[in-house]
Amino acid sequence: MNHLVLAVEAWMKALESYTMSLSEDSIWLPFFGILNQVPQEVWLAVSMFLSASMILGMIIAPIAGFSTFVERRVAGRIQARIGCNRVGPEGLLQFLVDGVKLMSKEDHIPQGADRFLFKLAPYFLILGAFMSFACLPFGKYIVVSNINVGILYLLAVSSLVVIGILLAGWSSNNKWSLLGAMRSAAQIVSYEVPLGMSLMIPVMLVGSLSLAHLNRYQAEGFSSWLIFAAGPFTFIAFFVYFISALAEVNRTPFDLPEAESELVSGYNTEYSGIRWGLFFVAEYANMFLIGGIATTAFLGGWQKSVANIPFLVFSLFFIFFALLKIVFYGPAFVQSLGRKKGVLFALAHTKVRSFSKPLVLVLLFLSVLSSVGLHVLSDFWLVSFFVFISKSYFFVFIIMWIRWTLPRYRVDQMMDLCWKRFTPLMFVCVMGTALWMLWSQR
Amino acid sequence: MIKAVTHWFYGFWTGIKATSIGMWTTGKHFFRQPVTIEYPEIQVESMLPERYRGILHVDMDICISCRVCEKACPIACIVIDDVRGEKSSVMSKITGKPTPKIKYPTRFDIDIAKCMYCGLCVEPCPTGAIYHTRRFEGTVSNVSELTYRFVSQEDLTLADQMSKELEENERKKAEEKKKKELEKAKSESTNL
Amino acid sequence: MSSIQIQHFDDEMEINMGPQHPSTHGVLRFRTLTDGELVRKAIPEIGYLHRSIEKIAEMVEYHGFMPYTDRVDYVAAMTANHGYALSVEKLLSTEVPKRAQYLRMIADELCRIASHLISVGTFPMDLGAVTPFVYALREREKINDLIESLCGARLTYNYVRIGGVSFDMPDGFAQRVSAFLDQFEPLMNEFDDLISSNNIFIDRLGGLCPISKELAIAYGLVGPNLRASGMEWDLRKHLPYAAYDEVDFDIPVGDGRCGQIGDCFDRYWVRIAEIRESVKILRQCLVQIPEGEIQAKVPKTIKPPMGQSYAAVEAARGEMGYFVISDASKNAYRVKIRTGSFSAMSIIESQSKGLMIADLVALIASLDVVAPEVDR
Repeated sequence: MNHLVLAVEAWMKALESYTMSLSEDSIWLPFFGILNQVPQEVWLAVSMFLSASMILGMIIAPIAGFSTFVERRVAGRIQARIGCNRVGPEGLLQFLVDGVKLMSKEDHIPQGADRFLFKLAPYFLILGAFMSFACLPFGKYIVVSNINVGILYLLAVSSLVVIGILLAGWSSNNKWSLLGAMRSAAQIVSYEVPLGMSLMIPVMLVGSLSLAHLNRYQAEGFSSWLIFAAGPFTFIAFFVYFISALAEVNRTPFDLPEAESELVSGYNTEYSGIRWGLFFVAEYANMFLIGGIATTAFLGGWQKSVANIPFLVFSLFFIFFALLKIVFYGPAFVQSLGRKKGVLFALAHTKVRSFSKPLVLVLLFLSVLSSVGLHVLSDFWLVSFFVFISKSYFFVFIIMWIRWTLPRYRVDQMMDLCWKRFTPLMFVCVMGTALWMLWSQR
Repeated sequence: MIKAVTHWFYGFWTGIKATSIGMWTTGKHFFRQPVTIEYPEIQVESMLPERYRGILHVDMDICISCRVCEKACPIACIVIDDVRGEKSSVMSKITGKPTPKIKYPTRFDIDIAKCMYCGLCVEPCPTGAIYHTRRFEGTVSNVSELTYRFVSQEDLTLADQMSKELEENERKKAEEKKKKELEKAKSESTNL
Repeated sequence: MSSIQIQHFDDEMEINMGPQHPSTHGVLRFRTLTDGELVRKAIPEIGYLHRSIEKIAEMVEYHGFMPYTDRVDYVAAMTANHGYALSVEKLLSTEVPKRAQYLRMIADELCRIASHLISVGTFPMDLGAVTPFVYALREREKINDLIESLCGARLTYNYVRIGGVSFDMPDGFAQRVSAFLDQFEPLMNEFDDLISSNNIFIDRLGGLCPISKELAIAYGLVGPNLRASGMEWDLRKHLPYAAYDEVDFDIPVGDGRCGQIGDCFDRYWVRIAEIRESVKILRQCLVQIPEGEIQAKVPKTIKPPMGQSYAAVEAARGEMGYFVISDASKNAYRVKIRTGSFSAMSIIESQSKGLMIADLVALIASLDVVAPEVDR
């Protein structure tokens, strides 16, 4: 049982006793009488639902939304330009404005499309992306549902996206979307084989499918990380996991389903407004999921370790950068408001000067100091949460970097890669890990 | 067989090499200064070269209404009407010498929506009256505002005045000529 | 809704790569008959960008037609200007001063680099990598700035005049061009590295659609497409105009380095090599340029004698020829423009059988078809 659930349960108990005290002499007696009869399990379920919603609503959805902004910024810097920096301080409010814009667009469903399936398709994708976060341990006592078949649940639930993509492509009444959906279905289903096998390796080493056990196994610092547990085999398994997961979420170099130059967005083509926004957010949530599973299964999860420090520096640097920009943005924003053209105008036309090099170096130094400090305090549960988020977000950043570097594979080459290269490689790795385990037990 | 196996392994090596070279090249750009010029905040017009072919402007003081620009324009977006007037002179910007002006424009319209900014009207102008400015922000909300009319009220009054003067002078000359002829005829008749 | 009736077989899908498409080659339309992903036939339909430029030539004077030639290929406008000027000068038998010829050469080569940058930039973008496009455009911006200081415009130059050029080099132009070339070469190598060493590109392009020498000549391909197929033919070397015989450069020919001769990778590689050759030519021109006049004496209203002339230049996409018939009046009787992209468009239908859709996009991009040249 974790703290969140305990806390919510306590509130529920308090509410229950209050309502019981009220039910003694009140005209609301019938209503509260019913509340009395509700069994314990229901309160448990409600509290779990609330804690899941908190994690999803307050952590994952903002991260997924914020990733859209980070993607545009990273793309800009790689392409020798600034990137998105207009709305809010350094463009940080862009994803909120994007959300509002998408929600205000016309809900256009193409003429010959199957209306019910067309509307249903994005929800499968969102389900597949968000349900997986239920078993992921975010920190020391922070997991929504500590099931003991975590990896199996993850693999099963993330396969829901195939149905969503096929529905989207087929019901759009558009040959291009159909092509994209077909390609995508083939790709995702094929790449689940190396993905599953590469996740089997940590499972073999730890002896349990539960993600909490995976975390506990890696508790002794850097050397106990699962990526080093069986020599080269787990190392290779990590990279194969990463690449197969890229294929699972349709990111370059495997983004043929959304190949912009050929298929005008593939299965996304006919979607507009918030339906398209859901596809988009599901993709970024999936990216964060890849990062999360990669850290839990291979890189030590939320456990305290000296090797966490680079990741912490990476995220703290940008957090301090953003905070400083916000601090400088405040007075400039108020000044823009003084031009009396409205809040939106002020948001879009306020710009803070870029920081000088010495200031950037000072920020870097501060972030190194604070991450060492955080590492020392790693026993606090909030710090472990932050460690997990930093590590996962580092992988999100790497995924974005790869997207803006590499071209995409053709369908048959991608299938070649999966069946002729990764699957035999994973067979070799699984056998190698098994042999390693046997040899090291001698 | 051995060749196939080594080729299989070599494939991984090329993949890793390609990805790392690519990521190194793009990664270097994180640390380079971006080349973006943030337009509304930075005044771009002053960064443009002198020869930039922006929106046209006509100095009506120097225009001698020779109509060379009207003829040279391939799209016929310049329309000029003029009247003949008393001779004056304007200082040409090109030669630096005074140029005679006998025609006074009463209408000089350039449709800058049609204009393709090719510069074929600027080249033959003898005084340098028509020239390209460096202005490129010409957006207006009504397309009829995009027909620039360069003849101002003063120019119209000047043209009017000069043409009246010319008429006067010509009338006077005609009268004098008549007088002279009459006198000549008289003297001839007296001689006879 | 088209004039061509196509008989469909049972399992064939007709996919329309319509005039609006994210592949940035302009408005071209391909009706592809496919069996799933495999293309059986790709029927091109052109005319979406037809602007009657050749007809306009009959209504505008000879001098006034120059800006219209810019629009025939707005990506490489300088060479288009040059070709028209050469053709009319042939009719008038004017002698262009040496300095003007060198200036035309400098402008041509700068323009060729800019056009090839767009070509090698959009090529990876069609394959999925967006970043090389932005790098190529960043360099093209610098070239645009240079040409802007030379003639005043960034896309539709109207720089060449019949009998010479319109402006002389501004102060410091030669130094600026040298500085640009110095910083351009390492960036070009970086760009090439990003693509040529990437095995995804090599896998996708090597051996894709090899066009043999005989087939290329039969279809009338010109320019880098022809040279990639192994044929050594460059108008600048074999039929030199404008002082090209006074500078020293090589002609890159495709040699099947990543597959077969004449495949898509060769066409890409030939363009990169041509950029390097253009840099060489530019450096020599800046040193060798003589003093002198920039425009020969040509009347304001040209009335050439009755006759016809054909002159061609080696534009970025191949031979761009202008056939001018004059009937001794101030407008031309007929101007016919022969462009390289038109022939390249025609070869796509025959080569597209058996390709996948992704390959079809790669083929169109490697042939460097631009819609304004096809439709005029």
